[in-house]
Amino acid sequence: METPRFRFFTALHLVQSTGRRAAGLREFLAVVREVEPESLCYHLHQAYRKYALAVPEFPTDFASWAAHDLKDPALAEKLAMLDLFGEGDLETLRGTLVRLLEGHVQETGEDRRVWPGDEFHFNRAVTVVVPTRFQADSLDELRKVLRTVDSGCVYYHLYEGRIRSGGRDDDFAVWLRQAARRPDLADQVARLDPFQLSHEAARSALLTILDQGV
Amino acid sequence: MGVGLRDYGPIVGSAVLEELAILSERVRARRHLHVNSTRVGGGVAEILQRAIPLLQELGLEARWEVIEGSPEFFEVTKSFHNALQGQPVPISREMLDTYVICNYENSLRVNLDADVVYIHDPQPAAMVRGRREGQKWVWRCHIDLSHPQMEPWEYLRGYVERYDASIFSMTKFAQNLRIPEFIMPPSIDPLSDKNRDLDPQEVDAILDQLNIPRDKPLVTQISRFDPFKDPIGVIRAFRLARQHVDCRLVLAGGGATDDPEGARVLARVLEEAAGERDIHILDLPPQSDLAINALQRASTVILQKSLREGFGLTVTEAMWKGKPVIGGAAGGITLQVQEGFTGYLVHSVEGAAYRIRYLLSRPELRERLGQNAREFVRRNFLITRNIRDYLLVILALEHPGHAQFEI
Repeated sequence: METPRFRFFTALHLVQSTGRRAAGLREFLAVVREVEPESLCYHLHQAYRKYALAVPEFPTDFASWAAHDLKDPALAEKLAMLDLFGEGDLETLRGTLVRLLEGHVQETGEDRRVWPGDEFHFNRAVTVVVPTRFQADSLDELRKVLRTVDSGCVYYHLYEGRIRSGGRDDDFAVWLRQAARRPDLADQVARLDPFQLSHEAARSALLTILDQGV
Repeated sequence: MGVGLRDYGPIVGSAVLEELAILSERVRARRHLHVNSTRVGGGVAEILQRAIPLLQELGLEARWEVIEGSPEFFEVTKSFHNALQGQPVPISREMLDTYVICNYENSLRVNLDADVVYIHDPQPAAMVRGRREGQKWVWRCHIDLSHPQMEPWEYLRGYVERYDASIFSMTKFAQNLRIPEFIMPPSIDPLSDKNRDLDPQEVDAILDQLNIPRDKPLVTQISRFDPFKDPIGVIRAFRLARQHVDCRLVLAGGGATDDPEGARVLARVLEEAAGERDIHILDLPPQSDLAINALQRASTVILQKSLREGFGLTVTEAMWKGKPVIGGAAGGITLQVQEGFTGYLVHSVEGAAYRIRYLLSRPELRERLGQNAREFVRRNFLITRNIRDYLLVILALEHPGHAQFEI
């Protein structure tokens, strides 16, 4: 039986303002409670996409803002440890985020404010998924093609794949598990922590797993 | 032969050109029109001069029209511009009439035959009254709207909200409008005179013309003579740093000839630097793109110690030349200078001095930050990304309510 084809896509993002902003911790919490899920998704995930060349200091825009603008390093540390892929869907993650913020507000008992100009602006993104000319019909082809595709493809399938699946399986892991019938490799790929790898380092790590598999 | 898409291939990579080709294919049936207020001079004209031929090369029917107006109209729009950027400028009823009448005349004069109309900046914004059935109109705002004078902005908002969408350069300029507000950072053209590669001999020749010796590391800030660029702070930071490491400062800018405030700041800067042989103050004339390019390339470290900043394209330009940037933590500089990755953000004269000293003592670190800076610009702030975003806006408008879609 033929292995179903792995088609490589890339994603292009157009940023859009929601018009919502927060100048302090309590305002921030209020917006997080009710802002559209696309905005949460954008700010929880875009840091990794934007800094493709290196691992960002903080994994989310929220943590980064807490550290640099709100000047609340403890909150930044708590936000940095949110498990973005272990919570299931986005609304569950929102619930965890809200509880974290509420707990911090209660613990510190203050409503820290930022300097004018340092407010948190809530954005969202329109994502346009674009096909590429690359595809693979076998594990061996996947290895070869993965070496040549643009790093944007690696990001789309590894990182955004997890957002789409709402779990730890990215597109590569799903394909390895279901199409190539290599759950051993799929498990290894699913254990990769993309936040600790630049896009190129993620490509190398994937290739190491696939090379061993072949 | 002019610059074409093929010339960008070696710079941005084939994947970017392939993406542009796919996006253009999807929007090819639409006729595109860009309208602004000047054919030459200023960042908008600079981008359109290059972007329109590139869009045409991608197979799109793209045109660029420029509005016409009396000197009185441009006086009004200059006041408008200043008020929208926060200056308390009185706007009278007569001024608004001048603005509307000129826009109306232009909406009759300009050939508006297009499917997608991009109107750049406030000058032609009221032309939206001339929109026709089935057209998509997009207002592209290039100015800093973060602290507008409310009365003129509320007036302009009345026109802006008749558009299908708006585009701002930074999130903090967005205005909570009733139409979609897309965010599109500015870009630079890597093949323009200001940014293209230069031979070392060309750089040397230009520095000789400017009388800048190459005997010591050059620390440079290039920007208008404007108090918000903190040129005096730069001189003081340089003096502090020089107590520890020998170097030369170049402060180069323009705008002092046609701007009374610029002339005052320049005079103050010259006074501050008087008698110091290692400080070079250059009042560059317009069209000094090659000189700016050469100065940036000859520099060891580049400063942009702004106290307030829009996006800060001089930072982008410096980063594109592979230079680490020491930037004031203001505006768009914070989007570009990543602490310890592409440069350093500073909040004081002492902070700037410390980072000059730090970077001048670490050649390998400078090299690494500079490489990161160039790559960061390559991925985020080149004109190809700008063209891509314009195409994405059209697709987004054709898929309203969709956060994600495949083409």
